[in-house]
Amino acid sequence: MHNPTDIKLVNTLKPHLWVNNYGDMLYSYAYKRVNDKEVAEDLVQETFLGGLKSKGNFMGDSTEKTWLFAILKFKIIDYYRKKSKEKTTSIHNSEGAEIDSIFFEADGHVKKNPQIAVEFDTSDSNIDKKEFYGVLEGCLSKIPKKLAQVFHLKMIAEEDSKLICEMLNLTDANYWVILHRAKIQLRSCLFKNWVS
Amino acid sequence: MSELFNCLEATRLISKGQHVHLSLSETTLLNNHILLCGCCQGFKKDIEFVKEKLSQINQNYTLDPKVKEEIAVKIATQLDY
Repeated sequence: MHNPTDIKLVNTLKPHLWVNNYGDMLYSYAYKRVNDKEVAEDLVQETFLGGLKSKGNFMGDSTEKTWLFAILKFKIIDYYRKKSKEKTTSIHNSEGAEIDSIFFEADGHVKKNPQIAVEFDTSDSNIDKKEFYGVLEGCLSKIPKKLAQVFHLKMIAEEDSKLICEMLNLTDANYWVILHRAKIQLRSCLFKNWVS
Repeated sequence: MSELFNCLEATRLISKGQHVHLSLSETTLLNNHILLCGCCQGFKKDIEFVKEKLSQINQNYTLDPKVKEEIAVKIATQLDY
C-alpha cells in the first residue's frame, strides 16, 4: 500500500499542446537572446522537433516546460557557438573600436564632445514628453550588429556574463570592452534623438 | 585627474561595475577619478538610468500565428508516425 505522500507525480509530455502552451514563452525567451525574429522562430521549431525526437529521454522528474526550456537553451548556445566559429559572424577584439576613437582621444581623455560631456535630463516630465521608449527602441536597433548581440544578451536577456563569453568566444576583457562600446553608442544616440 | 587612469578606462570600469563587483583597487581608482571628472559622473548617471529603463521594459514577445500553425502541423505529422 502506498502512502499518498509516497506517490511521486510523474510528468508526462503532451506534444500536441506544446505550441499553444509554450510557443510564446519559448519564442520570447529566444527573441530576447538572438534579437532576430526568424532565428528565434527557427529555434522554437527546432526545440519542439528536437523534443519529439528525444521524447524517450524525458524522465518525468521535471515539468514539460522546464524540459523544453532546457532544450531551447542548448539550441541557443549551439547557435552562437556556430556563429562564433565563422569568420563573417565571429566577434573580433577590435569590434566597434571606432566608437572609442569617436569619443576619446588617443590618450583616453574625453574629446571635447557634448554628446558625452552632457547628462540626460531624466526628469519624469521629459521622459513622457519625448517618448523615451520609442527613441530607446530606435537607438537599440542602431547599435552595430555584433555589439548589439553582446548588449542584448547582457542588458535585455540579463544572461550570465561567463556564458556570453563562452557562446560568443570572447575573452572576459574583450567582452567588457565591447559591452562598454555598445553602451557609449546607445547613450550617444539617445542624446541626439531624445535629449536634444 | 591621474594621467595613468583616463576617462576611457574610467568609463569602462563604470560600465563593468553595473554587472560585477569591482576590486577594491579598481573602486578606489574609479572613485578618485569620478570625484574630479564631470564627464564620467554624467556617464555613470546616464548608463544607470538606461539600465533601469531597460529592466522595466520586460516585454514579452509572441510567436506569429502563422508560424505557430506551421510548427503545430509539423509536430502533428511527426506524432502520426
